[in-house]
Amino acid sequence: MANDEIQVVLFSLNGVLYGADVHQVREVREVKEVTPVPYAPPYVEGVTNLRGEVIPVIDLKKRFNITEDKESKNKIMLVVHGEDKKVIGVLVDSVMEVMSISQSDIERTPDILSMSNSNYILGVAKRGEDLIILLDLRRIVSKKSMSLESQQFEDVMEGDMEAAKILKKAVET
Amino acid sequence: MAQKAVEEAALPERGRRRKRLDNDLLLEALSSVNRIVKMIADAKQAASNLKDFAKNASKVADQLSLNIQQLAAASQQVSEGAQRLSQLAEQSAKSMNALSSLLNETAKASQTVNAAAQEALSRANQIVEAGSKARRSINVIRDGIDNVLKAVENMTTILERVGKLTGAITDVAGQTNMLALNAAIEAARAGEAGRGFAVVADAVKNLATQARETASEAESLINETKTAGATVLNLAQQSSKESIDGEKMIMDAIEGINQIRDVIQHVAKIMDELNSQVQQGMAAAREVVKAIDEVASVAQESASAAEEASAGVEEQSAAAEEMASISKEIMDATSLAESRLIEILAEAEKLQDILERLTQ
Repeated sequence: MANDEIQVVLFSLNGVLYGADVHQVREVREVKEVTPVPYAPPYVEGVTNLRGEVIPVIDLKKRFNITEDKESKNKIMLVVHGEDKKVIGVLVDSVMEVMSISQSDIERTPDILSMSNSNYILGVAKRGEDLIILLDLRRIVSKKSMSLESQQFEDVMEGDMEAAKILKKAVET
Repeated sequence: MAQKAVEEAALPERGRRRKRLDNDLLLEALSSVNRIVKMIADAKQAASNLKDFAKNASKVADQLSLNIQQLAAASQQVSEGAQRLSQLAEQSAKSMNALSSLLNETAKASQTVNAAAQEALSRANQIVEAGSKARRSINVIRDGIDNVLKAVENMTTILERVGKLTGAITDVAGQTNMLALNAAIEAARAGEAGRGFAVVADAVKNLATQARETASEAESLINETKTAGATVLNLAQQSSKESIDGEKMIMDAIEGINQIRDVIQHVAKIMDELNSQVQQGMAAAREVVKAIDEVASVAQESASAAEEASAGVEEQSAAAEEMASISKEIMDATSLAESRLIEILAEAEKLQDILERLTQ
């Protein structure tokens, strides 16, 4: 294996190709059952049992604010190595293959793309006519980034709770 | 005697003797004349009687002749009547013959109608038979269609099972693909050491893909076959329905023909009745013709008898006329005889008178 090549797992969301470094992906699984978790953020699908290990499952499309094209029948899950040896399931539409991409075929992310959620996108690789968006999955599922967005969500939730409380009081009086 | 005495007295002696002789002769003549007169008177009386008889006979003969004429007229009338009767009988016979031939034609017509009805009946029977055959054929077709339906249903069941098998193959291919992917990831993470394993993983992945594609092709073939089966099923059901409709139409047609057959049978029956009535009519007409023939022959006989009678009467008439004329001749002859006898009597009486005077 040449040094200027990286091995990526190729997968798709709504027909768009994405790539993730094989070192970030432990395995690919078909998810039979996901148990929803109360008060979880919208992109958290729930938890599932992976050979006795309970892991959280997130929907990458929801995480990326991509509108659902179709509800895929078979839920394909990338099992990703998160921080602190945590394992997180990431739902994608399909997983195609493991492929090598030469560094020369990778273009660095334009600044404008990485302005808001910096460093989630490592770059864009070309394969013939196709473009492959290379993702930093470990960063995407990191506690830090997740909690940042979760905090925003929880704020909204708390606001709703406050509103509900006020409404309840108003009804009682 | 007194007369004799007178004569004797009147005669001289010589003469007396002579006178006495003469006187005896005269007396004898006188008595003879008296007898003659008497006989003539008797004859006259007889002639008169005979004349009366002849007169009566003539009257009777005239009456007889008249009666015979009446009889002749009557027999003429009988003859004429018989002839008229004969003519009437002839006319009646003609009329009866006309009626008879009319009846004959009616009988023939009714027989023709009857034959036509029988023909129509046999045709109707043939049609009913053909309809029944068609019904049986339709039933055979429907059985065939039912078999097709069952076969297609069977095939569909088998296809469902094959579909499940292809589903299982697709499932296995998916799982194999997943295994190959994971193997490839492991191999890639192993770096240079996993290179050989990566090739195997790739080969497994290709096989999984091929298996999935083949299963997919099989599935689409199964779906096409299912669609074709559904079309066949639909067509077969339609055919079944049409065969039922067809059978119903045939049954309706058979029913209609049966009704027509009833009507034809009714017509044939009526024609039979008509024919038998016509036959009876013909028999009656024959009887009437026979009776008329008898009447005609009786009339003929009457006419000829009347003619014979007439001829006999004419002969009788002639005889009666002859008799009348004979009676008349007898009467005439008798009249003549009587008148002569009257004259003779007158002369005889004169003679008697003379003789009486002579004898005095």
